[in-house]
Amino acid sequence: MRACQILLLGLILSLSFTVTQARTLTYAMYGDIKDWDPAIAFSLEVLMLANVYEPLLWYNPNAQEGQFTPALATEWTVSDDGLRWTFQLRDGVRFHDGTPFTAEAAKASLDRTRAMKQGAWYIWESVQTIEAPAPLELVITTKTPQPIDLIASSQYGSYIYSPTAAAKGSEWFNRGNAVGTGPYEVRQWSQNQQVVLEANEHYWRGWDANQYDRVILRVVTENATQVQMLLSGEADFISLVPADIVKRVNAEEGLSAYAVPSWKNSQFLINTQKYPTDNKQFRQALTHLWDYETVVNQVYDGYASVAVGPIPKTMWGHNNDLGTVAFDPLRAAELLQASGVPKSDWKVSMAYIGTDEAYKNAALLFQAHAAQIGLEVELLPGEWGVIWNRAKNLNTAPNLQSMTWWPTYPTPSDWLIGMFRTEQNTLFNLSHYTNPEYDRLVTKGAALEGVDREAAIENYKQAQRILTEDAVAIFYADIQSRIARASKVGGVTENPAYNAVFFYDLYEQ
Amino acid sequence: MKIYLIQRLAQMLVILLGVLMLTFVLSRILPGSPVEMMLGHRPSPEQIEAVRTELGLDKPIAMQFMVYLKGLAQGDLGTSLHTGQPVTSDLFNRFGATFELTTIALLLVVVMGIPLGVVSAVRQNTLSDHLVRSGSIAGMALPVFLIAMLLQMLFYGQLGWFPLQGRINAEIALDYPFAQRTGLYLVDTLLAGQWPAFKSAVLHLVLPVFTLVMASIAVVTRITRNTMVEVLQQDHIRTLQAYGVSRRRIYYRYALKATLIPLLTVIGLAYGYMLGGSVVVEFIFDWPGMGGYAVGGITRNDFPAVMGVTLLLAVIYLSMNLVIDLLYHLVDPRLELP
Amino acid sequence: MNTPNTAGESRPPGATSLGMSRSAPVNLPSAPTRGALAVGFSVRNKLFVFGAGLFGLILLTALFAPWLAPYDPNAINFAVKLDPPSWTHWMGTDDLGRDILSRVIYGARTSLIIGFNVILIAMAIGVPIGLLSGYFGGRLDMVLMRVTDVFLAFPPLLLPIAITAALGPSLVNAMLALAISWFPWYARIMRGAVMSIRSQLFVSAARTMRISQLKILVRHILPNAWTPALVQASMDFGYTILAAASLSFIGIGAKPPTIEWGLMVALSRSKFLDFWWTAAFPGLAIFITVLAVNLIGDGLRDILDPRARGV
Repeated sequence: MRACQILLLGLILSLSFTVTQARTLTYAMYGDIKDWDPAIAFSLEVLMLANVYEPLLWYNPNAQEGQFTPALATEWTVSDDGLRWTFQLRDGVRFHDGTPFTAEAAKASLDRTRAMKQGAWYIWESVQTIEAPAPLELVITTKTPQPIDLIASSQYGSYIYSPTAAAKGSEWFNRGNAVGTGPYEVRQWSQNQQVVLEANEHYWRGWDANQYDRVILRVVTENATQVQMLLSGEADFISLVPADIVKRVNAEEGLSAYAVPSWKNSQFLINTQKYPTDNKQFRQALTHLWDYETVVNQVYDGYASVAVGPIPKTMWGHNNDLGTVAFDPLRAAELLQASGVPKSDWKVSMAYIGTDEAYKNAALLFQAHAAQIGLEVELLPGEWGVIWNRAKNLNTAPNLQSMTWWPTYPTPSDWLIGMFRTEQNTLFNLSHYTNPEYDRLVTKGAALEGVDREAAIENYKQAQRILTEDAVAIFYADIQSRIARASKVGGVTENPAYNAVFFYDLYEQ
Repeated sequence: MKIYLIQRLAQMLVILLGVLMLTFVLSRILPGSPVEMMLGHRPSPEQIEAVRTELGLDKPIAMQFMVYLKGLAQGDLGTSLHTGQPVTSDLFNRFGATFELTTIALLLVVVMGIPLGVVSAVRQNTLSDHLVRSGSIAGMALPVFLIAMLLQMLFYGQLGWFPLQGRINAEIALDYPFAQRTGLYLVDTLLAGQWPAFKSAVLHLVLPVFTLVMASIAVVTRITRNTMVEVLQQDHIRTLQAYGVSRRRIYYRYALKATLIPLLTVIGLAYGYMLGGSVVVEFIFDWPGMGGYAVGGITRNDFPAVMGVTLLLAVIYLSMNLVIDLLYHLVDPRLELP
Repeated sequence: MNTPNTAGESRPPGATSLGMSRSAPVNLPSAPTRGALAVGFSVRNKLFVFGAGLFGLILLTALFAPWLAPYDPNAINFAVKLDPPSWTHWMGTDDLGRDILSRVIYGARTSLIIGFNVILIAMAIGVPIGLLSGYFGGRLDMVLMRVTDVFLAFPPLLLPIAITAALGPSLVNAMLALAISWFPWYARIMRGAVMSIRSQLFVSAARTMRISQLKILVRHILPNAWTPALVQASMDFGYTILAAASLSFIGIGAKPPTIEWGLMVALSRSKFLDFWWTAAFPGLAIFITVLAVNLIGDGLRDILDPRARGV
C-alpha cells in the first residue's frame, strides 16, 4: 500500500517536473518560408536564414567598431591589386548535424550557391575561383576588384551550410530542413503555420541564462491579427506594424513600438511592356496621379519620407538632383490625352499585398484620384507569393505592382540591377524594363565599385535619371522600419543591412 | 428494402456523375489558362503545344473527362499550386479540423434547436413562442461573418475569455505535445493525457462553434416548430388527448416521434449549412480546416485546392443525405420512390 | 452561408434530400393553423406591414442616395480618419476618413441591385425548365430534374464559391454564380405548380381545342402557376443579399470602388476590435435589409400562396 503511494507520488512529481518551461519568444512573421535552400532563398526567408546560418562576416552599421563583425571568418586581407581575398576561418565550429566547419565546407557552400545560378547568386558573379589551401583558410579570387568583404556579409546568397546537407539537394531543404552553424536550429515546420527554432546548444558564442531557448515564428498574414496577438501577449514581437498603430501600442503597458531608419523603400513598378503602360507618357501620367505627401504623412503616418528616385536617400550613390515628382492630376490628364491611348482604354490593374494596410490605403487613394480624371484602376490585392508569380509572367502581370525593396548587401547597384536591369528570366524586374543604355551604365557602375567608387556613382546617377524619365515606377517612399514588441524583450538592435531580427541578441529583461 | 437501397444508390451515382461533370467543366474554364500559368515569360507556340500535350488538353473533351475520372478514382485531385502537395493529402490533413468543428456545432444545434422548436409549438402564440419565432426570424437575417465578428469583439476584445483565432495555442502545443492520431484535437489531447493542451483546444473551439450554431439554429428551430404544430393537429394525437394521456407523454413520445422524419431532414439540412458556413467561419477564425483551405485557394489562385474541397464536401453532403433517406425508410417503410 | 433559404420551412423536406420529390407538396403547410388562425394571422400581418414599411424605406434610401448622403461616399479625408460616430459623422468614418453613413446609404443600391439581378437570372433559367418539366413530364422531366439534383448536391454557398473562383472574382460573376446555384429551386417549384394544374379542366379544354403547346404553356399554365415561384422569390431575396455579402467578405465578390456592405465589413476586419463602428453599421444594414425582406416574404406567402393559407 505504502509502496503504491510512493509510486503515485513519484509519478505526480515526475509529471510536474518533466515539463520545464522553455524561455520562448513568439515572433509573428507575415509570410511562410518559401525557399528553404539557402542558395536560393531570396525573400522573406532572411529572418530564418540570419538566425540559423552564418556568413563569413556580418555587416556592422556602427562604423566606430569597424565595418564588419567577424562571423565564421576571424581575419581577412585583400591583395594590393584587389583581386585576391584571404579569409582565416574560425576554429572548432560545427554545423548542426555535427559536420565540422572547414574551408572545404565554406568553399563547397559558396561554389554550390554560384553554380545553382538562382536567388542572389549574382553577388558572386565577379568571382574567378574559390580555394581552400589550408583547413581554415579560404581564398577568393575575382576577375575585377570587388568589395568581397561586403559581398560576403550579404543577407542573401552568402550563408555557409553543411556539405552533408547540401548533398541531399533542394528538395530535402524544402521539406523544412536547415543545417547551418548559427545560434538556432529548426526543430519543426508546419507549412503556413509556424517554424519552431531551438537554441543550438553547441553554438560557438555560448549562451547566457536569459537568452531565448526557443523562438516560434508564427505565420500571420493579417496586419490586424499580428497587432491583436501582440496586445494579447500571444506574440512578443511582430513584423507588420501599421504606422497608425505605433501610438496605440505605446499607450499599452508592457509594449513598445517605434520606428528605426532603414534602407527599405516602396514603389509601384509600372509594367513597361503591357498595354497601356507600355506608353511612356501614359506611365508619366500615373506618376503625377500619386499623392506623395498624403501617402507619406497620412498613410505612413509620417514614418516615411517622399522618395527621390529609386535609391533611398541614406544609401551611397543616391541621386538627389532628380527631385520629387509633383502630385498634379491636371498634368496627368494632359499626359494621358497626349499619350494617344484612346480614352476607352484608360484602365490599369494594380497588384499589392492585400494584408498590408499601407499598400491598401495608398492604392485606394490612387484609385480615387485616378477616377476623377477618368482613369479606371482595378485593384488586385493578394498574397506576396501569388502576386509575385503573376507579375513575373507578362500574360498575367498587372500594370502596377507593389514592391518594397531592401538591399542584398549595401550597394546602390542592388536596386538598379536587381529591379531594373534586363532579365532573361524575370525575377524582380517586374517593370519588365529593357534598355541597353541603362544596362550598360549599371553594369559598368558595378564593375567600377571596387576600383573607383566616384566613377561608379557617376554611372549610377545617370542610370537613376533614365529610370525617372522613363517613369518605370512610382517611387514614392523611403520608409522607416517599424518595430513593435513586448518591452520585456531586451537587446533589440536594428541593422539596416539585414531585414531580420537577430534572436541571439535578445534576452528577457 | 433491398430494391429501394439499390434504386437509391443508382440515383446517387447518377447525381455524383453529374457533380463530377460540373466540377470538371468548372476546372476547364479557369481565368488564366493553366498553360499560361505554367509557362513563363512569352512562351513559344511549340512550348504551349508541349504543355497542352502534357496536360492532355489536346485530346477530345470526353477523353479528358475520362482521364479526370480515372485520376479521381485513384484519389488524385491534382496538386495544390500553393502547398506543392497533392490536394488529397492536404485535405486529409485538414479534414479533422473541419469535422471536429462542424460535428460539435451540429450536436449543439440539435440539442438546443429542437427543444426550442418543440416548446414554441406546444405553447403556440404564447410569449415564449413569439420570442422563439422572432428570434429565429432575426437569426436568419444575420450574416455569419457578422456573428463571428460580434463574438470576437465581445468575448475576445472586451472580456478576453476566448482566443481570437486558431485551433490551439502554439506554445502550449509545444510544451505538451500530443500525437495526431485522429486529427481531432479534443480526442488526441485526451489520449495523450495532455490536459493543458486539451483545455487550449476547447477554448479555441468555443467561438467558431458558437458562430456556426447561431448561424443555423434559427432554421432548425423554425422547421421543428412548424412540423410539430402540424403533427399536434393530427387526429391520432387528438385522440390520445381524449384518452387522457399526459401531455408531456404525448409531446415527447408520440408527437415528436411523428416529426422524426422531418427532423432527420432538418439535421441533414443543418449539416449542409454547417459545411457551407464552415468556409466563412474557418476563414475568420483562421481555422486550419478544409473551408479555410478553399478560401485560401481562391485568394491564391490555387484552383485544384478549391475544386478538391468543393468535390469532397459535395460527396460528404450527398452521402449524408443518402443515409438520411435510408433512415426515413427504416422509420417509415411505407415511403417509396416516386 | 448560414441561411440558404430565408424561410426554411418552405423547402420541402424531400427536396432538400436531393429532391426525391416524395409526396411533399411544394410548400409545406406552415404557420397559422386552425385553432390559432385569428391571432397568428394578425401577428403575421403586423410583421408583414412592418417588414414592408422597412423595405420601403430602404428602397427610398437607395433611390435617393445622392440626396440623402451627407457626404460624397468616396471622398477621402485623412483629417477625420477613424473618427467615432458624432454629430458630423453619424456613423463615424473609416480608415480613409470616408463617411460611413454615406457609404451605407449608397451600399443599399448595390445590395438591392444584387438581389433583383440574382433572382431574375435564377428565375429566367429555372422557370422555363420547371414549365417544360412539369408540363411534358416523362423522360424530359426525369432528365431535367436530375440536372437540378446535381446543382442541389452542393452544400449551400460552396457552389457559388467554386463558380466564382472559376469565372474570376468580380461582382457580376458572383451574381451569376449565385443565380446558377439557385435556379434549381425555381425549376422545382414551377414544376410542382405546373403539375398540379396540368390536369385541370381549363388546360384539358385548351388541349382539345388544339391550341399549340407553346401557347398553352405561356397563356394558360404560366399565369396560373406563377404564384409559388413569386413567393419563393420574395423569400430568396434576402438570402441572395446575405450570400453576396459573404462572397464579397471572403474577397470574391464586389471590389472597390463598388460600395457594398459585405465588402465594407471585410475591409474593416483589420480594425473592428478597436474601431467597432467600421464593421457594425454596414453589418447592421445587411441585417435590417434581410430582416425586412424576410418578413415580407413570410407575409406574402400567407397572403398569396393558396396552399399555405387557411390550412
